[in-house]
Amino acid sequence: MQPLLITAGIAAALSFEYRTGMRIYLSMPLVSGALVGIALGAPEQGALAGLMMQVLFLGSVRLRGRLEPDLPAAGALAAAVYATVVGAEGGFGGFEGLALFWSLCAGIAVARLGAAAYRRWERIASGPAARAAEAAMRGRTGFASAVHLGLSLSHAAWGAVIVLALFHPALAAVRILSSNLEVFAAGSIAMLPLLLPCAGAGSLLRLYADRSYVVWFAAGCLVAAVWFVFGGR
Amino acid sequence: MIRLWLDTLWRLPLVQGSRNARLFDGLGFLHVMLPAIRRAAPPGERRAALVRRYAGYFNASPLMAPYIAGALARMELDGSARGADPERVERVRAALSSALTARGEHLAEVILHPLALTIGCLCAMYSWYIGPVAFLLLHNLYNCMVRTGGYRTGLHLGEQTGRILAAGPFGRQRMLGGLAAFAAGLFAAFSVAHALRFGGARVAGSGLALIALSALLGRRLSALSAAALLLAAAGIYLAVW
Repeated sequence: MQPLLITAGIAAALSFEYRTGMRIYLSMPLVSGALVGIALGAPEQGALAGLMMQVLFLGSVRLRGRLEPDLPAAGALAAAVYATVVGAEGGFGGFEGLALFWSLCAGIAVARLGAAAYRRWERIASGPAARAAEAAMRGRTGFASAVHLGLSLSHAAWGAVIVLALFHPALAAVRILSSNLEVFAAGSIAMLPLLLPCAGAGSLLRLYADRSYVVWFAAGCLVAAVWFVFGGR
Repeated sequence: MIRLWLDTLWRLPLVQGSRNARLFDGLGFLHVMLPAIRRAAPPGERRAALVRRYAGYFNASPLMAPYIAGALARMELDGSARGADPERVERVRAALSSALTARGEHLAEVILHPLALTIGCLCAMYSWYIGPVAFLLLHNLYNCMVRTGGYRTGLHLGEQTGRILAAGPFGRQRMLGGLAAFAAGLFAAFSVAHALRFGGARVAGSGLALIALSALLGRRLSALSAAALLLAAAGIYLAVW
C-alpha cells in the first residue's frame, strides 16, 4: 500500500509542476525516476528507469498545439513499477532487462493516455474558465482567481488518480510478462539500457539536423572520439 | 514597486494552470495582472474596463509571460492618471505575446531544455545522482533568472522589453544552439562507446542502426509514436537475438 501512496503523492506534485507552467522540471523522468526510486528505497533502479524513459523522449520538443506526452505520470509510474519489482523486492531472478522493458511499455501507455485525457480536459475546462472570466468582468475577480487556482489543482488530482488506478495493474502485468514469456527471456534483453540511449541520440540528431547545427553535432562526435582514442572512458 | 513584484511573483509560475481550449491562458494571465490592475485603477468603471481588457484570450510561453506582464503593467501604471490607450496596449500585448513566444519557445524548448537534458542524461549514464542534479541546476539557472527577473525587466522597460530581449538572450541563440548540438554530438558518441564497452561490437552496431532509425522515425511520427516504436524495435531485436 505504501509504494502506491508514495508514488501517487509524487505524481500529483509533479503533474501540478508540469501543467501549471512552473517548468522547474522536477517532472522530467530523469529526475522523477530518481525521486521515486529514493522514496521507494531503490534509488538506482528508479533512476535507471527514469533515465531510459527520458532518453526515449530526449529530442521531443514541447511546443504549443502539439499532443504532449504526459511525462510526469509516465516517468513516476515506470520508475515505481521497476523499482518495486526489481529493487525493493530484492532482485528478480535475472529478469531485470525484461522488467525494465515492460515497465517502460507501461510508462509509454500512461504517457499516451495522459496526452489524450489532457486534450479532452482543455475542452472541458473551457466552460468554467469562460464563466470565471465573465464573473471577473462583473467585478468578481476573487472568484476568477479561485477558479484559476482550482483548475490548476486539478492537474495534481490527475497525477494521483492515474497512479492510484494503474499502479497495481501495471505491477501485476510487469511481473507476469517478465517471468512467464520465456521466448523474450531467452534473448539479450538485459542489454536494453545500452541500446536505448542511442534512440535518444537519434532524436537529438533529428532535432539538430539543420545545416547550421549539424556541424556542431559532428564536432561533438569528433571530440568524444578523440577522447576515447586517448584512453578516456 | 517591490510590493507589486512580490504580489505578482507567486502568480507567475501558475500562469498556465487553467489552460483551456477557448481562452488558452487568458484566465491565468488575468490572475497575474490583477495586482497591477488594482494599483492602476481604483474600484469602479475604470478598473472594470481594465479587467475586461485582460479577461480574454491569451497565449504565450510561460517563460515569456513575465516579460509581457511586466511591460503591460508598466503601461497601465503609467497611464493610471488619464488611462492608457487601449488600442496601444492591445497592440503591444499581441506583438509581445506572438513575437516573444515564438522566439522564446524556440530558445527554451529547442535549445536550452535539450541542452540541459542532454548533459543531465550524459552524466546519469555514469552516476545516477549527478545526472538529475546537473540537469536541474543547468535548466533552472535560466528558468529562475527569467521568472524572477523577467517581470522586473518588463516593469522597468515597458514597451522596449522586446528590443532588449532581442539584443540579449535571443541574440545569443545561434551560439547556444551550436552548444546544444555539440552536447548532442557528445551524447551520441558516448552512447555508442558505452554500448561498445559493455555490450561489444554487435550492440554498438545495433546502436548505430537505432540512431539512424530514430532520426528517420522522428521526422514522420509524433514523439509518442516514435518512442513506442523504438522501444518495441529495441526490445524485439534483443529478445530474438
